[in-house]
Amino acid sequence: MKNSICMPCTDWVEKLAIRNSDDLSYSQRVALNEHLASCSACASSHFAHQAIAGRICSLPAVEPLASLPYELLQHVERSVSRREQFACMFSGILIWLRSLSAAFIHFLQRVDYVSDDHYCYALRADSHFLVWRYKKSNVFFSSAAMKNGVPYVTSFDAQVFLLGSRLRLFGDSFLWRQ
Amino acid sequence: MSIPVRDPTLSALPTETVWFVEVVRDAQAGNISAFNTLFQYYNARICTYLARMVGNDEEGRDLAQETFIKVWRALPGMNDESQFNTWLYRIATNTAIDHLRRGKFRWPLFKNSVEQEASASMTTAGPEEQVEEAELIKLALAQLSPQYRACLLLQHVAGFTQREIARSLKLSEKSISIYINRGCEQFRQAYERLANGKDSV
Repeated sequence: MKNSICMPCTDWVEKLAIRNSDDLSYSQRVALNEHLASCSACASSHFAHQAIAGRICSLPAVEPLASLPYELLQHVERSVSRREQFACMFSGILIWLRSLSAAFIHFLQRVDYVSDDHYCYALRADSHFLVWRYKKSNVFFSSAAMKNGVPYVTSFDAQVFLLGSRLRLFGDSFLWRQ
Repeated sequence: MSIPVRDPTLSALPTETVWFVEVVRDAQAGNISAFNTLFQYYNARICTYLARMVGNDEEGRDLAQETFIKVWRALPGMNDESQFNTWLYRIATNTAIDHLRRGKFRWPLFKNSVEQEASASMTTAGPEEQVEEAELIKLALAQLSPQYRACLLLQHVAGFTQREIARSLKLSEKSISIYINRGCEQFRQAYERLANGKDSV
């Protein structure tokens, strides 16, 4: 490293510092190797370049960052909380609209309600066609009358408590009871 | 949007692969876990590159933070996902050059302190040779112009081809070839000067 480098050939000087093999085609690599074998000035320059590369690469590794930058993490938290707020508000509006429309439909039709372990079904009283299905956890009734072993509730109760529960008039403490 | 599970520390990850492009696209769409995958892959590389650019590990890490924040903000505007690699290093290089420019007025002081530090490390009897050698290399790198330094480091530390360096620095391939040669020559001279100074001390 301490010896000064002889002047390399001008035609080759730009290729002597190339380190990545993708920079040269196969024929160029062959030609360069042949030239290095015959020209001591270019060979020593090439060697010096390789030595420099070796020295730079020999520097100890730098300890990386422990995690994403704090500002970025904050940005992510803010965007997530905004998204959650929006999703919560949107689903609230959606549930309220669905409740309203359900109550309206039930008001116009005579509907019986029947439940199993997971769902409560609204059936047309005359034909027993399914009008609506609710998750039990989302619908609260005041009472359920048993008909042929199946718990029925009156449509009035259903409408009142369906709306009430959606509008949270009764809070979350009002539980299903049969 | 699901991110394929893959070890981000794999060294031979071709940045043009479909998988990689998908991750970049997801990150562009605001997916933070995709961005975190990119961060995990580039974290050590960018920290090392920037530490070499500014000659200080701690400052390099600070600049890496700044770079990743800039990348996150600019990602939606990036056009070609397959060129993420060179685009990222362009941001990192510009961040480093801006930092060096900001420190321009401190340069004489910095230079003195560097020389003092160099002579101190050379006269101290205790330090190991490897540490001294690393210091010499860092000092020699610090004496290159930022453009030459960036070219040398992109070639030797980031492992870029000259075409990729040209794309990253928005210069012609011909210029890159010249810059690397001049950079090597400047480095060699600086290194010799510093090593001779050490010998004379």
